Amino acid sequence: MKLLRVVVSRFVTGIKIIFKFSILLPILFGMVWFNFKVDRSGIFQGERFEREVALALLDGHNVSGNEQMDEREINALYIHNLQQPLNTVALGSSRMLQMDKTVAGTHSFYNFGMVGADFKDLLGIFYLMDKADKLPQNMVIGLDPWLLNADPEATDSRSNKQLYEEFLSVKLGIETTYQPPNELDKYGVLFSPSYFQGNLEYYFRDTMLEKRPTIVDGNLKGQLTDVKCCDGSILYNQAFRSKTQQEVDHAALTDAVNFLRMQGYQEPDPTLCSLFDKFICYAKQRGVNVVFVLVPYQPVLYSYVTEHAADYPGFFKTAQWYKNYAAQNNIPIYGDYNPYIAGTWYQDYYDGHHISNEALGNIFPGIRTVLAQQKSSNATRPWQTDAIVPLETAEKIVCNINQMQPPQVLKYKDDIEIDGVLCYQFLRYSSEEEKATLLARYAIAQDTGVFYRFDTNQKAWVIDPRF
Amino acid sequence: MALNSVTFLLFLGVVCVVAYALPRKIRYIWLLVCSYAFYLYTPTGTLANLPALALLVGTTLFSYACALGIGKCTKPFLRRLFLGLSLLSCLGILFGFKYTNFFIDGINSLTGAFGTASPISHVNLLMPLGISYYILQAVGYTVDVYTGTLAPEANPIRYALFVGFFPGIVTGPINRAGSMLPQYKNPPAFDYNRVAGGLFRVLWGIFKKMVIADTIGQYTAAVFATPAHYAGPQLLLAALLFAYQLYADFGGTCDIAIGAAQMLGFTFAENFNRPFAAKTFAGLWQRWHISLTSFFRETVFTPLVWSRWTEKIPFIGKKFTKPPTASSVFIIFALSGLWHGPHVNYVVWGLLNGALMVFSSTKLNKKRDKLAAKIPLYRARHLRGFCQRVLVYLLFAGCLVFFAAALYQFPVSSWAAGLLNGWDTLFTSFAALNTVLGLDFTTMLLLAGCIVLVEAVEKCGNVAGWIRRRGWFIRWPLYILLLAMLLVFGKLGQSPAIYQQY
Repeated sequence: MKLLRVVVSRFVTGIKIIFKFSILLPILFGMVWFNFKVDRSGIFQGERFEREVALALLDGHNVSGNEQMDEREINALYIHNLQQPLNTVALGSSRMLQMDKTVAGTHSFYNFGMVGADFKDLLGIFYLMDKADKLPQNMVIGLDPWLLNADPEATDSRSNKQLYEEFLSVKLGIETTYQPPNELDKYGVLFSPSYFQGNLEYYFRDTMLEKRPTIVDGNLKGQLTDVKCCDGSILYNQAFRSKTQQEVDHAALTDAVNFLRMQGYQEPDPTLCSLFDKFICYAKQRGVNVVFVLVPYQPVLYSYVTEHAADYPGFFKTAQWYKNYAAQNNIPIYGDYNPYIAGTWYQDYYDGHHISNEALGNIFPGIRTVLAQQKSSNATRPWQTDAIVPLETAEKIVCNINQMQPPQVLKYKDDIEIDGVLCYQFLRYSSEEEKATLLARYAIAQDTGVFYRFDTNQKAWVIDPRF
Repeated sequence: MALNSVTFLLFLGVVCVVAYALPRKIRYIWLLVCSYAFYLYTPTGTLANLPALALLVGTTLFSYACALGIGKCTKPFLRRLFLGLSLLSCLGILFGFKYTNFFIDGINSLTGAFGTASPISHVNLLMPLGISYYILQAVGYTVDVYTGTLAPEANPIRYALFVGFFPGIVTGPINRAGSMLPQYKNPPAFDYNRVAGGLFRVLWGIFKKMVIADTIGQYTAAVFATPAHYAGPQLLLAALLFAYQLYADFGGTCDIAIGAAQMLGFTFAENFNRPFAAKTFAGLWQRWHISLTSFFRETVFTPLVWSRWTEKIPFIGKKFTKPPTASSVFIIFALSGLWHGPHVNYVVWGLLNGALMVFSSTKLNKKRDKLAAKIPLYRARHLRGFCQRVLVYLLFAGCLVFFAAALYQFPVSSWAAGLLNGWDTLFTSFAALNTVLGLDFTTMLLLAGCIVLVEAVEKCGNVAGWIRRRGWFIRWPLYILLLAMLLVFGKLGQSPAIYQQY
């Protein structure tokens, strides 16, 4: 009986102590809540600045100062806070970032393009959508030539390797070094008084000092910094958009000399090709309609690369690999790295890599048209045209290089073969008259747009050095 | 394991629950196991502290055996022999670990001055945790047994618990065996008020240590690390604040130790009693590091005074007719300084305090009376008390510059040299005051508020008892206030207790 009394007494005391300690629990809960909401390290909410940008974009605002933003983080937070899956999304590098909802042809659109995006970035952003169960109906992928380059130099240090490996392991069933994170460590930080103090300091002091997102309300096109538009596309700053043609060409030539991620690239890496295939198959299997876009390069850059084709074998092979892959898998593909084939011209670019929004709109017909073309019973596939430089573009090239002075005229004569390459042949006359003098003979390669001139001394076709 | 760490609080909780669940007769065994586990603990889980634990156990066993020998023997020679052996081993260990390199330096500088010998190299010894505290406890026990104040403890485990009880092993207080051993023999039953009071005292100590001491510590550590880079007002402020930092740090840690012991049912000796409320310098030393001063008083000062050692000095001894109180004060303060560490500045600090103790008890009383006679305002009770306290604080803080110099390894001369610089811009504006002092307004306000709170609460007596006598409407808001202050302003994981290194 005495023992029972002791046990009961101790039990009651224990309950009493636990109850009294529980009065202090609100302090603990308050700390946990504050740690979760402020989250200065961005463990749960993402970085504060990027979080605010993502929320502003979701609210339909355009935000200036894109140069200072972590696009990868913003994309992740955009997906995290997205309420409904989108109709169409675009993936790719900054070369795709001119695709806005007008070009895409739907209002339910977001461009997840990222500066320097590599293979890991593409798969990572797709995986984030997949994980959040917010996969879009249509996915337009801007295929850059470096995506299949396995050289570590061709990857971006900012890309999320862990996310990429998680996707490969979890979704594609490929063995990687990925280890599932210890969730206990992650959530343990919520109970950390040190983290709480850091959050307090961050909330009351650092937030007053740190940069804030600037929402653009007025003149969108007159901004001094790049604007991240609410559809994810980028509107470059006024100075960048207002460069003279000479400046653009010079920039393109500079870009050509240091051709991005193409140095020493021989051919598409078989492993990456295989992973790419698995990724596309998985996306299709998940009901996503995949569309490819090959964003063209500026003519000056492309001409340089064509002239030094031996130095960049991987570039041309990758373009061909994409086209073949699209054809084999019946995936619509628009555009071409060759600006002439893509139907673009010098003034359609901001530098060697980046095409204007309008020019991209001419290449990509909009998702509704794409879908319509896909559904069409007509067996012809408009995107599967022969990849040749149109005659009009070839004529433009000749006129641009030679600067025809009136009354001189240029006349298309016929197609000829030079070194096994089919070319358009043009004749330049002194005037329109029938007895006008033949001044020169030119040829434009139909596959690459290379410009030839007939050398009367050598009596042979030579590549014009002005090209 | 730091006393202000979450690990310690969890450890204490487990020890408490199990201790009260066990029968009282065997509780001391559990506490000894926990004490040794505490001593052995390293954050990395290695056995790096095993040699230190072996030393603790060895010291315990040897002093235990010597005390038994003293108790069993009746012949004075044998009793002295056992006492000598115990003191020699204990103080030898303390000397060996703490002062070897200090004396090597002394020998080297002497031999170097004569240019005779090549310097002796330093001995690489890591000082075991709490050695200064448990050695003094063991010494105190042996002396008490020798003087007959205490019967030797027969149970070695109980004695081992007295020497190595975990709450007091890091920073004290230095307990006397006569007070502790009976408590270990008859531990009390669970008492809710006692445990809750102890827990509040632990919280109070953590608050003092982590909110007050560590906040000041951030400032003083920066100033004292490179005094040459700071202006006079900053150097002065650092010196003034350091006195309170030391009190809050050491007093706070002692509060944690005393509170933890109280939670387990034991009453430790008090180490502080509002030292800055003292109106005289001697009064301050009756309230500051009480356990060490009383240890020295009982084991060194009293025997020295009663031995009238000055009269035994050849040739001049006959001139001394009174007991050698003043000289003995000097000796114990020099010893106290030396106990803190092997540094000349600690000894200077001790001697300065000794000098002020002697001076304040003889000369200042007369001065004060003369001053009171001349200035009627000085006779106003509160004003006089305030002036006295300010003066005592300033003198104490001034002496502590030597202590800080030893602690932060800076030359006192560089502090003194910079003291006169930078006063011109101090009072130009409030912003300038902030800038010149290097402490922002919020921090100063926080410190002032916390100090007022501490002094006001401690004025009411033992905080553990005081809080239990208050109604819930005072208790709970105070708990929440302290916890919130700790969470918001506490310098978490910043620094170990200053007195841990002694």
